[in-house]
Amino acid sequence: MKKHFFLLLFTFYLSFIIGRLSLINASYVLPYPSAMPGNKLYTLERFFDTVKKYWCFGSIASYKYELGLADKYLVEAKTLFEYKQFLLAADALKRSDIHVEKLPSLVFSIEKEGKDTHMIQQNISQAMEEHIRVLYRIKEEVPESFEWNPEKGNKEDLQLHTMIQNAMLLRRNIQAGNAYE
Amino acid sequence: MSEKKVFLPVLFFFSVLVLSIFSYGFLDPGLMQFVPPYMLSFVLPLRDLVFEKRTYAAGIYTGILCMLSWSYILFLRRVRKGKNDIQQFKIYIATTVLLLIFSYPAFSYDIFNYITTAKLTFFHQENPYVVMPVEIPNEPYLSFTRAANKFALYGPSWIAVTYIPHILGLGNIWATIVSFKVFIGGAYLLLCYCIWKQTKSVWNTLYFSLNPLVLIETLVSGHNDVFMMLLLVFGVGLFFRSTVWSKIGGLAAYAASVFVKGATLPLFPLFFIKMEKERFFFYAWILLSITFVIAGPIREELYPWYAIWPLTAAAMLPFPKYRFIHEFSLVSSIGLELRHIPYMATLSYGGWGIIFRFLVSFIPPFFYCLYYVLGRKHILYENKKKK
Repeated sequence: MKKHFFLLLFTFYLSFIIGRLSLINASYVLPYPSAMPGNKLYTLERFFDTVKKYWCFGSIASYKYELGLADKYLVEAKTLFEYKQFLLAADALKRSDIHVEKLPSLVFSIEKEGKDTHMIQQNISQAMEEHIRVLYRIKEEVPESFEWNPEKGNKEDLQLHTMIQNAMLLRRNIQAGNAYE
Repeated sequence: MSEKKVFLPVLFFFSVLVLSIFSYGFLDPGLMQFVPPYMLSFVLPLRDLVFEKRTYAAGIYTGILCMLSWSYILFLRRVRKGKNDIQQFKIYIATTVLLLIFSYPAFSYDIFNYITTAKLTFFHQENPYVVMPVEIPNEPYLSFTRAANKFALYGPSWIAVTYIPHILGLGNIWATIVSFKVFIGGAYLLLCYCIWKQTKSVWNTLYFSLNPLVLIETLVSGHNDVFMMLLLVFGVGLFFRSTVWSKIGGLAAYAASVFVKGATLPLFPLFFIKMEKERFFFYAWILLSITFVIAGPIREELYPWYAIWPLTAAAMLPFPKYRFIHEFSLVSSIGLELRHIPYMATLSYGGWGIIFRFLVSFIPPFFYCLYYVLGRKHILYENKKKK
């Protein structure tokens, strides 16, 4: 009986320390992958992504728009990395980074307008944590660098680990709240 | 002036006045912080009646509804007899509007949703179809707004016009409530005018304007359905003129009505079938009645104020040619207003209220249909005695 009790206690300890298991699970959920490059609808989707910016007027709507696209392009990058389409994946990751970079200034605008940003900052923090988790897994699966040799055109040296590391660093800064200062 | 002649307007305006005063008993707790001190002595006893003595409050409401319905039917019968002084009835309508404009929106929270959505759009400058009011946690209007965790439920036509009452409210919640009610009251008066202009009938105008459901759901609760129907009736009136521009204008007004709530969308094919205006409104009554019965349960439940759609169409039809439609709609409208009773009595939407609401919605029209088929006795005018 005593042995079972200590075994149970030890299991809980491990799960909290190693697995970062929380009793309250409110994890951020990334969207499903949308159309990928090569799909007939891909160009149309990219067009609507751009046009949607005008529909999402207002600082909170803009923040939701930018975060939504950051998530979408990260998922696109993840899928393309899995299919070893490194050039397209790198491009998708860059686009995700561009939208992530806009988040701190939008939060500042929302605060300046006198709106409560507590929930928004919490949401962004959870989103960045999920982004970092995904990027960490991608980094483990892709090579450090890759030379892309297209049939027509110049070869390109893709420093994949550096790119992913920079993306993680950007998100860590935002999560830490450094970028709001 | 005979006693009988005086009794009816006195009864009617007494009911309207009591309704206006009684409405303040439903003041939301979240609004209490905004009530000026001089109003508290008037509001607190009424709130005590509504929230502590709920059965009495439900009884008072039932009494008001009975008085309003009875006087409404007697008014219509009087007009039918030939006593149709339009100037007199203009005064009745105007007085009713004045008495009810300053009532509290007692039986629905929709007007607070209009107010908060307008503030979200024009003050906070956010897209109401992308941002919910609850996403601005420090917004003070959230304390009395329900359904704040939803995107805008109304079309762009309505949201655009709410700029007017929003600005006139000058950021003060009471002034904003009054300005929204004045705006909706204005739409109600314009709709009554359109009905009068197109039907040339005092009876048809009164059929709509003094209907208890229309008074309670428009002038007290402040729903925007009259605005949608104003655009429809105005649009149809324009469309049936002979010039091309009037037809284009009519279709534009109709399109604007679709972008208020979407309920008039099923009428689209009617604009392309050659028919007279009377036939148009006959089919409109059928389509709007079907929309009302289907749309309600799809949303959440059968809302009484949706009956304004078929009631407006019925008001455009000549009486007594369409007697069944008029009397059926009237009976249904009174039954639908009884749906408020369970919540008043229990402050809950469940329990016996579910069965009660079903019964009052469907039993009166069912029995009217039996009455019409078997009894052949008229509600809206006196039966001629057989020789």
